[in-house]
Amino acid sequence: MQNNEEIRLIEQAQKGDGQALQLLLQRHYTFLVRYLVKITLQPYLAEDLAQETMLRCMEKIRLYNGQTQFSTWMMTIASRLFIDYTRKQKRERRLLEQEQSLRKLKWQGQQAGEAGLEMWEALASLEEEQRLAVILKHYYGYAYDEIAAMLNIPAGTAKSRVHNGLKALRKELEA
Amino acid sequence: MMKDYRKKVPDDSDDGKLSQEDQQLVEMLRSGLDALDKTVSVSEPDPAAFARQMDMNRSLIHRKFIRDLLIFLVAALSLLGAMGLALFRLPVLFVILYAAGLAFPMLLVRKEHERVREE
Repeated sequence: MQNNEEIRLIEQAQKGDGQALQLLLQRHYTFLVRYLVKITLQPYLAEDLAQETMLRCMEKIRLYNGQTQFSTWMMTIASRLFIDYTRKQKRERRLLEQEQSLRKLKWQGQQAGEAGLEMWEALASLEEEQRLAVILKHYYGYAYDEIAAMLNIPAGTAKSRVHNGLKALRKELEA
Repeated sequence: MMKDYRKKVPDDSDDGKLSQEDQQLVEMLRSGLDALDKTVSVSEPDPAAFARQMDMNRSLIHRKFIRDLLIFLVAALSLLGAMGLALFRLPVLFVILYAAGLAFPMLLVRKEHERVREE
């Protein structure tokens, strides 16, 4: 449930209150970047996409209808921007950038003594659309219908992406 | 402190029960992604810097709106001019353009349907 203050901020932002919109977006910024880091595995790309998501939210705030959480609405915009990005970029270039970023992330993770680095590598091996579906389902806990609405795909497709994604993850971790 | 947006109980209602193997995998996934959160530091944005960014975004949206409006007006006037000219000087060309204008969007819709079905 959204709290009353957030609902008030959304209403004010929809009426054109720039400060309310700023406060609203500022409160969700960290969460948004973290979500984008998880799905892209590239912190710089995540920052860029977060900026673009903010811009879209500013443009479309009047279209937000309150049927989902505000954070879910932002995640939807961010996910679709990420999918657009993957479709526009050449696959080879994308994989190269991801590999470089992942190497740097793993080094940082090792320095920080973090466990679970092999999972990052396994996630990086998934197709972006599968990775997105798996993370939305099993990290954020969304239902297939919700994932389908967020990614604008049929629920059956969402389910098969999650299923195949988990299968591919297991295979990658066993290799 | 950042809000915990993750649902407390993962929604497996439309999934049946996960096998023990899958549960372990999902646990690994969650701890791996939590470790990613700890590794990549994302700080709360500074309000003043965020306000500047918002101002930049606002002016970007304004410029984009003006650009889109100009493109729309130029395209609409060119199209209307061309159609008007065709209607009064070359009626056959007008009919061809009109038919093409109807068929083209239908082809696009059909192609999109096929793409979605293939997915």
